[in-house]
Amino acid sequence: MERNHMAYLRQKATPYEWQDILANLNILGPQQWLSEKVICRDLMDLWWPLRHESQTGCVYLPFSIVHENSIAIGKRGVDEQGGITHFREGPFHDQYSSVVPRLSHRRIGFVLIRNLGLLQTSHGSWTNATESPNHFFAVLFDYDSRRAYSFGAFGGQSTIVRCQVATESDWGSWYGPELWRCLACQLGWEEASQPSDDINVITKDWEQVGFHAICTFCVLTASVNPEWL
Amino acid sequence: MYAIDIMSRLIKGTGTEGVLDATTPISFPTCLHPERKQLLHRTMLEIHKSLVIYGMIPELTEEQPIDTGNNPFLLDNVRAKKFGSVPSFRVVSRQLEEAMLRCDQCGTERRGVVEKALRPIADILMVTGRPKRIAGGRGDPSRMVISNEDEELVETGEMDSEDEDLPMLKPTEFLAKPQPIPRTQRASVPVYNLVDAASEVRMRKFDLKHDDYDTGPTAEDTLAIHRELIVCFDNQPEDFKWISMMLRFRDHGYRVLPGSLDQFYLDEPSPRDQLAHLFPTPPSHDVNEWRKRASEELALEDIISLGNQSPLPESCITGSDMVQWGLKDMINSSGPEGSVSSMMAYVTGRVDMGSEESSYIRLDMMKDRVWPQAVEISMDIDSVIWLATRLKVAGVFNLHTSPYRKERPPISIANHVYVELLWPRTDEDVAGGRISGGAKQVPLSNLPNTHFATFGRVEGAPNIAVVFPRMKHRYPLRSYWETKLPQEVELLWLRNVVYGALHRLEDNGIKPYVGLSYEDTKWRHVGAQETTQVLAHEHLEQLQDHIDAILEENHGDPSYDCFRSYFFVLEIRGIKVATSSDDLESKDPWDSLVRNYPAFDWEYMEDTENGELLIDLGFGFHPSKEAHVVGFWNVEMLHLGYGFGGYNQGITHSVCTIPSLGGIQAEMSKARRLRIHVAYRQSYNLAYEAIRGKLTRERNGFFSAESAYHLKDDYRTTIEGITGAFTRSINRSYGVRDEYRCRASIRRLFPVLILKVCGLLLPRFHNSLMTLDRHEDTWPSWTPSCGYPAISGSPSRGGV
Repeated sequence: MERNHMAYLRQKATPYEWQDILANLNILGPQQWLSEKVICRDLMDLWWPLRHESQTGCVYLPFSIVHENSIAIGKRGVDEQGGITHFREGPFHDQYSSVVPRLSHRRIGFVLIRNLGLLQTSHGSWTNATESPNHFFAVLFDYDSRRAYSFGAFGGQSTIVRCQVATESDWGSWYGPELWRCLACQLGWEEASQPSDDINVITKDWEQVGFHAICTFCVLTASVNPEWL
Repeated sequence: MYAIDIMSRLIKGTGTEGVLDATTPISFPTCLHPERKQLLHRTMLEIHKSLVIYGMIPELTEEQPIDTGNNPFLLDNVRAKKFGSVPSFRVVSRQLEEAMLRCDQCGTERRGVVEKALRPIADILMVTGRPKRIAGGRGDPSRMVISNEDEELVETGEMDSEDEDLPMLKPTEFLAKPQPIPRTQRASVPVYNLVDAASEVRMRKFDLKHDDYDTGPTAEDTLAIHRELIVCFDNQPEDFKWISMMLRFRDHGYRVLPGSLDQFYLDEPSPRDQLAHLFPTPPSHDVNEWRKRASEELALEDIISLGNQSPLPESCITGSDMVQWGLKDMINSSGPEGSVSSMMAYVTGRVDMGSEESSYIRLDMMKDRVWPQAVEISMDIDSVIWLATRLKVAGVFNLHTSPYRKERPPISIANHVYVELLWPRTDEDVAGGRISGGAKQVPLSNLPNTHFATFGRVEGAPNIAVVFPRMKHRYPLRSYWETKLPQEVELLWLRNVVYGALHRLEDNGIKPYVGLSYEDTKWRHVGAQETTQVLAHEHLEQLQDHIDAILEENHGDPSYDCFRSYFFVLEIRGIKVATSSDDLESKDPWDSLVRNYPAFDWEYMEDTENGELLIDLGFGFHPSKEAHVVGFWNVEMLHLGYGFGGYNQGITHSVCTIPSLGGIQAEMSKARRLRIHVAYRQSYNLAYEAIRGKLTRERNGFFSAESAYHLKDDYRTTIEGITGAFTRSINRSYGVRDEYRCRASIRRLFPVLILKVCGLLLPRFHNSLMTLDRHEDTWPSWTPSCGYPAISGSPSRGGV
């Protein structure tokens, strides 16, 4: 058994990963906000067995790592360019070293929390944000065609979603350009990480009516494994 | 376009052009319950896998022990994949299922699945069930041959599609294979075989929108409640949950079908077959064969099922050592009242032969049989039953605006009408998005019902009852069907639905006269047993629209949902006098019915599209007054007729203790009933009319065995009453009667039926044929009315 797979299994079996879900299964009931644990875990479980077979689906990145990157970018400030780590030193090396070099494409997908911007302001803290509803949205970066897709990043003017940091959809509001660069470096695609203006950002948003985290999940699941549809 | 579709195209690389333009509208499904359910199950499976892996990594179990909380069996259940035993899983799963039941989107998808599943069946029935083109009419079996030329034309499609011989199917109908008819019904005589039976019959097509097939509790819910009830009853009788009437009278999951009210197939039966079941007379050779078998081969053990240990001597069968007396002998030869010989004859059944010898009396009821010189035949319609989901009348009516007060509901006794109900779904059906797969015919009298409207308060006045099939239930831990609505439940119907609909009537002229609410009406008519509101026939249609609208607006509210799927039953009972006709050739009972009840739209009622109209067609055979005879059906011969007609065993009511005289009431066997449109037949003796009334109906005026033994007063009173009633009627003649409950379309056969009855029976009565007629014994035997207590079988309430 390959080393990466053992690492993944070990992480999967850690009680910390699943005990909370079992204790809070009611979040899967109707009219409940899904937590990132449920979404991310399920997507990882879905994607991991397919990591060598699925050459069409994107690489799914775990939420926790991307989220840490976002936090770090937010703390550093948008204009600073530091903190870029390379693949060997980066957080993906442990589990993705057997995956990334074999890929026929450079396409990644992940989920983010929409109210991340709120966390960066003085009004909010991480604790408050986790207690408030998590507004997930899905992101796909296609480095080959230099396209960035975001699904549901802007929730409209609905009163249900109050944690808006922008009045219109803008990938800069969730540090899209910085994440593009940072994640490319961490996955070992340095040439793709060069800043350029030719990145085509395609945004699909919809009016939020609440409880649409599951929509995000669907989109991501479909992107990871097309056969899921 | 859905976001998932966009993503799918993007990943597969097919049709991505233009998909992700900024102008492409994107939408999400309004409901994601199936995805949530899928996610729940997958998460549980993944946790199960994680737990298994956790157990396989020793250092992990040492480093990070699992906190089981206060549920130590939780992990065992997850490890064993018994997710149903995990409380939180069960709760969430249940919540999801309930949400899916309430969700319109899920309901639509479910219906789509069901429709998809059902469509092939319907299509197959529509295509393969259609009969082949038949050259000639349907009536003549000799012409039901498909010529080769026609077959070729059918195959090449050259024949005109507007062929008159094909049954015209309405959009709501389809053709199906009929139920096979059993070849024998009774052992006594061969049953009539249908001559003109069609191979396919028209039935009402299933419609998914006819009722709420995707709602309501499941059979398991009811079972769980019942189980809880039993546990509760055993352990905490004070918390007996079913005591709550709202829990008993609620939606139990039964649903009606489009053809629920159809009692028969929609095809008209052939006149020949239908006529054969009215006054069915077996062929003479069958009767003779039966008679021969009965007289020759009948052994003692055939009569008394005691084997060879019978206490009766052989002479009881042959009657060789007994005196054979008729009824006249019993009156004339037994001696005066109070004498020893009369007591001996009536109490011990013996007669003194002199020289201290006595002989048993063998009573021959047929010995004094006479053929009256004149017998009149009358024909009438005794009662009308109309089942409909949509009422339409042609005159003024009284709407009931107060609860039903009587002890029994309007439809409380079995009237041989059945309603087909779709049984509650199972949990599997719900999980699979299916409708219930089981339908069953239940007697109408098992369904909760109450009054709705009336057309008068006299005997024979039409009454309309409303039936609520969803609330069908047995009283818990008892065996009877609780069909009378409690006042609280009926007030819900009155307050929320009936008064609500009344206030929505558009006619301003009636608004001041309509009670504001039930309380208002009750206060204004204080002390009144029941209150009604006079309305015109056009109001009835509006009223039904409003009732439907109110129930639809409150869809999902349990206090309204239990009343959905309702239908109406119109009953007119005991009208044989109003419709009776002696002059059969010129006066039709149907005309009398229509003339006497002008408040109904009979044409509308007769149409099977609008409901099922059943009539009780009665035939009376009346000897002339001067004849002084009493008619009795010969039960043995009557049984042959019932057997030949395919009727069920039914109930035989013998006259006093004499088994050979009396009456029979029996339903038609199911498969035959569907074809022949005759549901029920009863034959009884009209001498019963001498004592018929409230006394016999309620049976509270009769004595018990105990009071007879102790010679109590009620015994003496009853005996004197019955004796007095018969003594008063001694100069009257009584005949016999035969009744058939059938679909109203049978009136098309009235002329033929009259010919059959008059042509076959009357000549024999008039000419007093004493010779062996081939149908002789299947008809009444006439006995002189010489004071014999002629208590016959009761038609509806059992004999005396």
